[in-house]
Amino acid sequence: MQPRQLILVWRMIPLVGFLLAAIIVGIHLGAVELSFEQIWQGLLNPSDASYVDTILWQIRMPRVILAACVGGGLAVAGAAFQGVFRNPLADPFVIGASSGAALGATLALLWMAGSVTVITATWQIPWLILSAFIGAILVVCAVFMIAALSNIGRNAPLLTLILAGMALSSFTGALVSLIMFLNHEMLTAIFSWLLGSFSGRHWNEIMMAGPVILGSGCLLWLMSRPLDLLSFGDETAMTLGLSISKFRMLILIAATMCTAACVAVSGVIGFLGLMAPHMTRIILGPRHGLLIPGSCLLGATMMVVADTLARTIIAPAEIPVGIVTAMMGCPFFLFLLVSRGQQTK
Amino acid sequence: MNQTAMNQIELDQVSCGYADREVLKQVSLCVEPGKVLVLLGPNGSGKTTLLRALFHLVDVKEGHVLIEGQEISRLSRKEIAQKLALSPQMELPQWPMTVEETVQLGRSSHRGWVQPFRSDDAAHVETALQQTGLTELRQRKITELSGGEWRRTLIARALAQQTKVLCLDEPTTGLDLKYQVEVLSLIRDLAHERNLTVMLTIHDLNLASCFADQFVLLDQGRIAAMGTGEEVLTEARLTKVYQTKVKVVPHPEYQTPLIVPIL
Repeated sequence: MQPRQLILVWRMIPLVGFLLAAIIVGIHLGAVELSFEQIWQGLLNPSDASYVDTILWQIRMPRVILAACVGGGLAVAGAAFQGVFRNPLADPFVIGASSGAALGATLALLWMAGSVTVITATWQIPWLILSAFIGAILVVCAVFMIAALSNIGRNAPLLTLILAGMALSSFTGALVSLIMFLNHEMLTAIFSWLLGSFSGRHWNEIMMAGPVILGSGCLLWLMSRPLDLLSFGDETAMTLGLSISKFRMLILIAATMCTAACVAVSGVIGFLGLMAPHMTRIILGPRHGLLIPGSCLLGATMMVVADTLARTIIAPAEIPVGIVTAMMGCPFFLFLLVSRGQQTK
Repeated sequence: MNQTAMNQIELDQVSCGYADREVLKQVSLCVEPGKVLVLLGPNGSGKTTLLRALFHLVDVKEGHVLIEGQEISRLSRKEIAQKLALSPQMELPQWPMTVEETVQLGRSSHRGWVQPFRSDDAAHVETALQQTGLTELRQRKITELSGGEWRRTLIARALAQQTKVLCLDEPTTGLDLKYQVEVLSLIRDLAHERNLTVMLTIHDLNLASCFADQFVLLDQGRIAAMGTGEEVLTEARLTKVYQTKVKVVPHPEYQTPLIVPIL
């Protein structure tokens, strides 16, 4: 390995450190503060049935781990979408995954509100997750089909995909708004889901979303070199030996699965998937072999921090984590933009 | 198949183009190994489309494109990339990769999509960087290069592919006089010494006249003339194809045709 790459690999180590620190602080803080001593003991003796154990293993730990999974997943999907669309403005929701998930979740909430007697409380969350996931996949499939049908798709498939994604997102967004407007009593439930939250999430959610996020994330990591080649443009990627349509499809499917799994368990958490890859590019450079794992670590760290803030800042109440990521991320992102602009002058 | 038929590009009555417009019309040509073939012609005469047909970037409507005797459409992208390299006319750098990383990606078709690059890849990258005078700039970000430095990076990336056929679309555009001469000398040496097949497009008729072995003049998608410099670059033909009055005189040093426009 060349020295430059070795230096960049070394730069990953602090990112791992930040994530571990964020996780430990995330477990430490909360309505009942756990001391680091207690966390350590609880980790070593998980069989202990004290209240510390319950808080550690049943409340804090699953929540922090889920936040890390979703943050990492959204960041990796964002990096992949930016790479495949060659567009720094792309984010995990660019081809309609978020609006599809929102519609699926809204319909599930509506249905469950109408039939409380049928569905027991334990099944509500899995239903919600499943319908959000299906909604996301269906809308993205529709976007793909529209792009495939369109004639200009042959010359500019990427642009058509983005445009079709935007159009369908607006449409499904309008549907969600209509449902909210017609069902006033559900406004809060739907709206808080739309803003994103990790409140009340347990190991079940991790068991459902974790494997999908991990699997698609690893697949995207394996696609690093094709993503690097795609950055030169379609024709150059082809002359360098890449069958672009095959790889592009694979990357888009993996990134969509990853996004859908994240959105399904946590709601629509914006900005992180856009921001984390850009920050990682500044630290680790644009090669996807490092960018993807780096974005994963940074995205996970940012989400754990955001969620910890979301549940402690106005405790005992919680703010939706999507609000925190946007409010925390925006100034930081603008700072990066301005400082980068200064450099190039 | 005999040895001369191998390692060469053959276009047989090729017609191709875009949705509503046919650009190349029944073009036939053969490129021999060890020779530099230059494609000349006015803007829009089909030079780039011919190269695109060679790389199967446009579908050939009629005729055959053969690489080492094999139909191009039967080869996978990877196989094409192991046989042919292209330095494109225009490409915009998107992310700030370094020059070295960019050239290294030229080795992709030899390594597949997951296998890491090896030491012999690094050696080929090193050679390509040296040949294009980029050794000093290897750590420079491609988004911060001058036009000429980026042009040389694109050429280096194609050289790193280590193919038997090298195609360059306007390799001298944006280069200063020194690098125009250096790049063309390098390409000619590679063709003559390593028996590579080289095909390039260029607008500077006088540079082409000094460096190339074979000349193909395209006019509105058809081959207007093919052969040596003296055969192709005649006053009457150039005046007609470029619709500009020219005078052809012998080069003071090499006696090759020197084309001077008459204003």
